Amino acid sequence: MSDMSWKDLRDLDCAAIQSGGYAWAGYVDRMVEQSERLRTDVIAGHLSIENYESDTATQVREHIDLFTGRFEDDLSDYAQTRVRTALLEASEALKAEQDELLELVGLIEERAYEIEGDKHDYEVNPSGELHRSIYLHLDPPQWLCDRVGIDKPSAWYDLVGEAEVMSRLGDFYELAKELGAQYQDRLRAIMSRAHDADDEAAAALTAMREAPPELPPQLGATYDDLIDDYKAELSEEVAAEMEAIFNGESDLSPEQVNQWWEGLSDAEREALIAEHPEWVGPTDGIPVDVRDTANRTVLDDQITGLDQEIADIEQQMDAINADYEAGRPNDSPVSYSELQERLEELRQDRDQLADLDSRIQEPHPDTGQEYFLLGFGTEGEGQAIVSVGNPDTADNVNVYVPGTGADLGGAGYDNGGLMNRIDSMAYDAMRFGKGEETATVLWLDYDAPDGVVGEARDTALAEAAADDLGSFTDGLRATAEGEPSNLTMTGHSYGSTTVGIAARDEGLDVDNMVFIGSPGVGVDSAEALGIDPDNVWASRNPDDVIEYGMVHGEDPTGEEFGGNTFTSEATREGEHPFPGGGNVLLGAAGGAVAAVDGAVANHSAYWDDGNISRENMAFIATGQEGEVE
Amino acid sequence: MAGADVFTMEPDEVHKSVEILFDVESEVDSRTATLIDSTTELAQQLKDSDTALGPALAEAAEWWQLRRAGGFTGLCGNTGEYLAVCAEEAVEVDDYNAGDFASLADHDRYPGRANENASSRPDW
Repeated sequence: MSDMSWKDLRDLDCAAIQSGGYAWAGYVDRMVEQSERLRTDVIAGHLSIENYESDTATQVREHIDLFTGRFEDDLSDYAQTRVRTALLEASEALKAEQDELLELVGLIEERAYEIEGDKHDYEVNPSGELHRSIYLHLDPPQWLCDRVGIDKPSAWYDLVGEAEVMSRLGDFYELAKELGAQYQDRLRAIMSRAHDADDEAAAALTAMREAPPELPPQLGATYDDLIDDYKAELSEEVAAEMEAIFNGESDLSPEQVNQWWEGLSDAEREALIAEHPEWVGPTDGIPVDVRDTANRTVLDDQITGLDQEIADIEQQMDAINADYEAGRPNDSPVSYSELQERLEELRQDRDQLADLDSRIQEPHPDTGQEYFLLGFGTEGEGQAIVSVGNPDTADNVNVYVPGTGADLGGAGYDNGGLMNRIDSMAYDAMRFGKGEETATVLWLDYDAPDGVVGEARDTALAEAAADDLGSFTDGLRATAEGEPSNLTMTGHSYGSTTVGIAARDEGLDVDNMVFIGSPGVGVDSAEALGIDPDNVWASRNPDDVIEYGMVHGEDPTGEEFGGNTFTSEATREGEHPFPGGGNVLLGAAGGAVAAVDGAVANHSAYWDDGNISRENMAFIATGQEGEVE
Repeated sequence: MAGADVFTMEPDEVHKSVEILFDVESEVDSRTATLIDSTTELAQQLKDSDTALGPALAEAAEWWQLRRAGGFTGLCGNTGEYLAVCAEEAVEVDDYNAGDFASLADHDRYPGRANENASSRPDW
């Protein structure tokens, strides 16, 4: 426990503490150079398979890799994160308190107070000198006379002045005491904060030594037995970290998650993928191909699990039927109708997951790109994040955020599903692109509104999605290999609102934003989206019903918004619903439903064959903005 | 240790690996000692100021040197010694113990090491 006195704090060499922190930081850098020597010059160099090949040689290389990785983890977890950070944070905090203390002590000494008492419970009282000046000499200091509001006696023979001091002795006493109390409170606060900073730094260093992971065993006769135990413990430690990241308890950004992931050994990564794919698959910052592998495993498991649950319920229902037909009483705790309801829910989940599974098995029929499953779920309306092509290696990445009515059921269906849209966008990027690879992602990881009234008129669902969309985008940036991709975020309908609000609230690290059929994007100006307005694009076809539902801010296709626009066509039959204007979301409830049909259909016409919107979106996504019409 | 179905070795290359392992061991030990000296001095200053950080820092530094950096260099050295025996014998060494280094390694190549580190070998 911190036992610093105020004099200890005053005299503390905070710069030395800071230098200590920097010394540990420099040490870490030098040590990493040494670990790199082992990896480069030994494992991949003199001890490579060309020079040394046998089962034992493989084991020795793995052994060196293991203990080098352990040392690197120790450097990161202890030397860097604990010791260096504890010293630097302590030096900064203690310096701040020291500065305040020096200022306060200057005042205390200048005004003839003195600090007394226990170092955890200081008192600041008028000194004997101050007492004598008041009570013995009737000649208080100027500052105290000012506080009392009388003139200081001009000299020892100023009897009038001294008489006035005499008459106000009670005031002098109270005000001197009051000021002392103020100094005392301030001093106690300074020391309390300093003690806290000291104790926290000490606690961080002490905690470091509690239950550290074991080191790999030494080579020797018992190695084979010991190494299995070591790997098991290592796996548990890494699994605990992965769980904390998955649960959001680690406070690591996707970039930090990626650094952590890259710092794991191959064996650690493989163990996590095998043992905890449910944590690995959804986590932003883990490479796309890894997430895909993990998510496919979980998807298979869930389909198998649902099949089993369905079979169990069918069996229960058969038993109830058999009892009924035989006239026997049935003792099932769950009624037939409840089982029937549950069965329908399970079958729906199972069918939706199976649809999704079937859509990602074979490569895209036109582009030949593989599908990557970055996330999925059946909670609520269901979630799906699927990419055509690998965003980590693609030159261009186009993330499509769907809007109202989007759900897992609509993602996998062959007929008109959301997957068809990203298939079209991927195909367009290939045929209108410059020969570079473009990955096209469906991001349905939020609860989209169910219909155009109610939820769709509220930004709450978009606001709830902002953090996840920001994290997903940061994850793509973190895991990208080579040069950063040209990253486009395309929002349709309420999806455009979701994109705009995520850009407004979280900031989206993208190069372009595209809003199609938008009811507003949560801001009134392209400048408020955090990217160059020249890279903001919007389009609405002339018969899109959304024109009458601009409920989330300025129309992004309008001149006042300040972005670019591109042409889209109304490719579906229908009449303009309200030639004279009006709000369809209100008017539709009135009897104009038939007239609205075409306009509603045209809200989804942007991916129709032959619609110029497809070409334009492809030009933007592939960095050919000059070709946009 | 694993058995061997296939075995090829360039002893000189393995010896070079050993030299790097020993050098890393030495370099890490040396730099760690320097760091711990300066940290111990800082910790003493902090102890003199009745901080909680002082004693905690001193213990952390000692722990780091002995348990973590020291553990790492021990592994470097031990692995180097094992490989040195393998290279010297040019055979697959399955049943290794640390004493083998003293009796089988090329001490002209690694002068003094057999005695210098004898006490650190767990099964000497």
